[in-house]
Amino acid sequence: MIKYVELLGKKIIVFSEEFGRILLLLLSTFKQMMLPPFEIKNTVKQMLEIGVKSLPVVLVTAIFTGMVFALQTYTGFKRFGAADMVGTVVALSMTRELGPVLTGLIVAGRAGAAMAAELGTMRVTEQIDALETLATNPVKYLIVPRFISGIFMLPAVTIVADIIGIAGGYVVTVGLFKTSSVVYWKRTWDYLEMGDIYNGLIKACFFGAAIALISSYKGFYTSGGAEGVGKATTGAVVLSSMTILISDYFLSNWLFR
Amino acid sequence: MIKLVDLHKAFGANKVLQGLDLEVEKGESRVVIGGSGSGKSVILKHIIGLMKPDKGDVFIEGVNITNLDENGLYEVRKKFGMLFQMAALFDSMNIWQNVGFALIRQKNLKLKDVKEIAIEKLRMVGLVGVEDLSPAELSGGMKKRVGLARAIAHEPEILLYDEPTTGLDPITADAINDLIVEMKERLSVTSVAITHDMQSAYKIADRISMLYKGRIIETGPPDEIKNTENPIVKQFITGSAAGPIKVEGVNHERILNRA
Amino acid sequence: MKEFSTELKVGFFALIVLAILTFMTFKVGGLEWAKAKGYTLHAYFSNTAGLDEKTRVRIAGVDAGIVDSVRLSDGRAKVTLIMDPEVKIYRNATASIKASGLLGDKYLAISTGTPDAGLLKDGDTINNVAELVDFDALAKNLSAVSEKFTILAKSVNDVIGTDEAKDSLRQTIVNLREITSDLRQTISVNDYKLRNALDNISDLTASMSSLIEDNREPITSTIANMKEFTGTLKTNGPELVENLNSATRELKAMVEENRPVVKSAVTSMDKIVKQIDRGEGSLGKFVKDDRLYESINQAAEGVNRTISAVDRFRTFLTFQAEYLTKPEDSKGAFYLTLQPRPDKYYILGVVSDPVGSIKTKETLTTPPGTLVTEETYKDRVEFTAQFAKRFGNAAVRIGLTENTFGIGGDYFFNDDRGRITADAWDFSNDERHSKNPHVKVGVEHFIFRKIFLSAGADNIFNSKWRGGYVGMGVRFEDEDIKYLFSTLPRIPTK
Ligand SMILES: Nc1ncnc2c1ncn2[C@@H]1O[C@H](COP(=O)(O)OP(=O)(O)O)[C@@H](O)[C@H]1O
Ligand SMILES: [Mg+2]
Repeated sequence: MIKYVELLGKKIIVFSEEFGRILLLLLSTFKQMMLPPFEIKNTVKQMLEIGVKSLPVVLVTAIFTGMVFALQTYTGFKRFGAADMVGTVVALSMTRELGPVLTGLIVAGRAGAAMAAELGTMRVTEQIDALETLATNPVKYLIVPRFISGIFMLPAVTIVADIIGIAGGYVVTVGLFKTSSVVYWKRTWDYLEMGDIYNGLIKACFFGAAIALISSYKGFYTSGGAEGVGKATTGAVVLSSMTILISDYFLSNWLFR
Repeated sequence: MIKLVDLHKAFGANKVLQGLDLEVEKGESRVVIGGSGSGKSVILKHIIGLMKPDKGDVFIEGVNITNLDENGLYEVRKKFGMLFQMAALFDSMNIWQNVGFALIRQKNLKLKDVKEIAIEKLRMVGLVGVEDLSPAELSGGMKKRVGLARAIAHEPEILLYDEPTTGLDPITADAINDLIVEMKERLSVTSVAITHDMQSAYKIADRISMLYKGRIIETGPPDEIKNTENPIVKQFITGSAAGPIKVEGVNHERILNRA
Repeated sequence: MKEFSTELKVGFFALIVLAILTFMTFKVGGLEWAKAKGYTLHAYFSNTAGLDEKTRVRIAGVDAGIVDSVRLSDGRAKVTLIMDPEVKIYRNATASIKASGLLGDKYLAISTGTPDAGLLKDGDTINNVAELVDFDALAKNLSAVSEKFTILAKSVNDVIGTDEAKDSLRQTIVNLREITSDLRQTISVNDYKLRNALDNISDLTASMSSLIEDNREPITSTIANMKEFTGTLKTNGPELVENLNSATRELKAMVEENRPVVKSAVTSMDKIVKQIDRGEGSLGKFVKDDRLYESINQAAEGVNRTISAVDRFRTFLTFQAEYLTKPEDSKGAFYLTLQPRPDKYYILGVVSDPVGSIKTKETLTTPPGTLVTEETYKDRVEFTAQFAKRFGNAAVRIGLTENTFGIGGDYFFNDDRGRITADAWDFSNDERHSKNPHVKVGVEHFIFRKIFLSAGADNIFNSKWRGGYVGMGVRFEDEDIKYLFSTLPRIPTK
């Protein structure tokens, strides 16, 4: 019994410590973000990694999500005569929820893991120390570009996911169920508000920042050689995904009320 | 030039440095010897400000760097060049970008000029035609040379070598030793090297210090160290498992009997 | 082919993202931007029921604009609309909040009005607004209604309770009894004629309604005269009962006068019968025939039927109170329904109207030359006297409705427990912004044997007073009054 309580206490301390260090890292990231020089080249490179290279898998996920969603809602809505509303439902769920969250999870799994692995390797092979000896702040050089890319690229990928998901819904509703394409688009655009899209994108910004920060953190503080890098990578994906799912609730609560 | 005073450092319960004093004069080539995990790298990291001591001071040219803020530290670091144990080349860059990294970031030089300087430094460490390769394409010895080229690229006053010869075959190791001596002579830098390779230590050192249990227990020129009466140093330089230095997990009685 | 640079890829991606964002912004907000080019109109609602900004404005169900903002202004909601430039809205346009579809999303419906009222321009206000009936508020006000109802019942009781009133009421009833007893004879004799007369009345009402349609103007003035007449009738209110008394007395006297004639007729009949009985003359022989008895029997049965009419004579007393959403006040009423036959009845009532009829007087003051509008609220107590005829489940009513000429109709359902009712009166209404007749439509239903609830729409054609109403009432058959009527002296059958 005592052992379990002790274990719990240990977990809590570890968690608080980790949370505190993430916050400190966030603070120093913000600070370094403001100070020149700006790591434009690195940032563009990270944008490619986080954004462009995540596109294919996000798009495939989005189009099939839109299609499945349309399939299910159409079947359900038809039973009480609201089949017209499929476009609305697909558009609303894509923009408000599925777009940002799915993109977040995919980027966390793809780019977040890569980030943690890369920084972790740099840590254990002393590349990060080497950066410091070459008078380069590793937070500025490594984390800030990832953080900025996360913030900008996640909403960028999300908006593409939104539109592709809506198109997926269209394919099923109009192509498979032979309903009017005019009605689908009208219901989509009539009931969608800029707030749905923008708030979804704001969510995506948060997710992007969270993925970049958490994965960078996990990589940056790796210890224990190759095994440590592996742990850091899984830790980054797990913690990013959890953060996305949990913060999604609070963000939704805050943004969509 | 470099002065460490009463340095203490512990990682949790692991007390690595326990009141270490070390003074390196300008232009001197100092080698610190000590067993694996005795805290040699930790000393170097304190000198360059990558670690902050729990207690004690680090003076670089009279400046106590333990009190410096981040920017001040980066200014001091510009005086340093460091060669890491595993070279620590940046995987994401090719060779000349690695070598020219500090130049690209510190000075407003054109990339073309940086590349020229990088090729020049690579030639100094005996490498030609590798500038456009990536680190993964190089052997361990070549990596160390590139690491050395990177460390000297911005013409530092102090060079730190972390086990420059470890993991290399004896011939390559000797080539690296020659290179370090050459650097000392050509660039007249102050240097601190840590190693447990006595061959290397004798070759490059003006003076050798022995680290044991968190302190420097003896310092002297190579000849003095070779003829030391200190049993600990003696055991270490002769490379014997039998002696006052106990290696964990080894049956010392058996070794003694065999001896 | 050359490998694209990192910058080019990211830049290309950024372009795609910007294009999608622009496309979506245009698609979602596109209408809004287009609408922003239109002109603004305002409308004030006391309840927008959560109408949102950016909801659509529809004319005949077609998108014609957008709600730009919903703001509070002096406790009311000021709704600002941006209308499509090509849509024309006139001054007599009406705005109302509607819900569409299963999901109940709201939109603002506008009926454009007619060109003769003049065009509404940018920044103008739509004055005619159909408010939503707020059932929550209504339910809360029900308690207020019942309170007023108690007060009304009390005051009715007070009025009836005075000795004076009791006297005259008793007198009225006595007189009425006598009249009816006489009338009954007359009526039973002239049943056929009466039926004809009723047919004529129904023809008349039919032709009148078409007449009203065709000649609104002249009729309105005629009705105005009638209204004036009833107005004076009412100013003599306290005397009314007295007059009614004397009128019935006169009526009674009139019937009384004719009594000897009837009597003599009966006497001569008596003689004839006696003669017949004796078998005198050919008729006498004929009478001896069995068939005669049969005929007499039948005649007696007929008379019997007439007598049992007394039992069928029913009287209802109804106390009713309603809460009107528009003047936000209650209206009480007391009705006496006399129902000599199941298919016809008379309704006499006193109504306390919170609004009454309103006279608008506009005077041009001499020095500043400004127009002063004076509205006089009067006629707080009004009278109703209607004749009603029932056909199956439907009934028509005609007569005096709240001091003016009025017509009405009812449809009964659920074993007469429910009633859909419509009334039109006050055809000569001249109040500002409400020149149309007062039309009230509603439904009533008994929830207990004697208590009913009512709800409906009041003054539908006059936007100023248009609103909903809910109410409740008590209706009971007054056994006492019935008793008074049934203790009439029996008329000998032979
Ligand atoms: N960042 C660190 N965190 C925790 N322990 C460390 C860290 N760096 C070094 N140590 C510990 O300090 C001791 C000395 O390490 P080091 O100086 O690298 O040894 P060496 O003399 O072989 O270079 C080792 O036991 C090591 O585990
Ligand atoms: Mg070491």
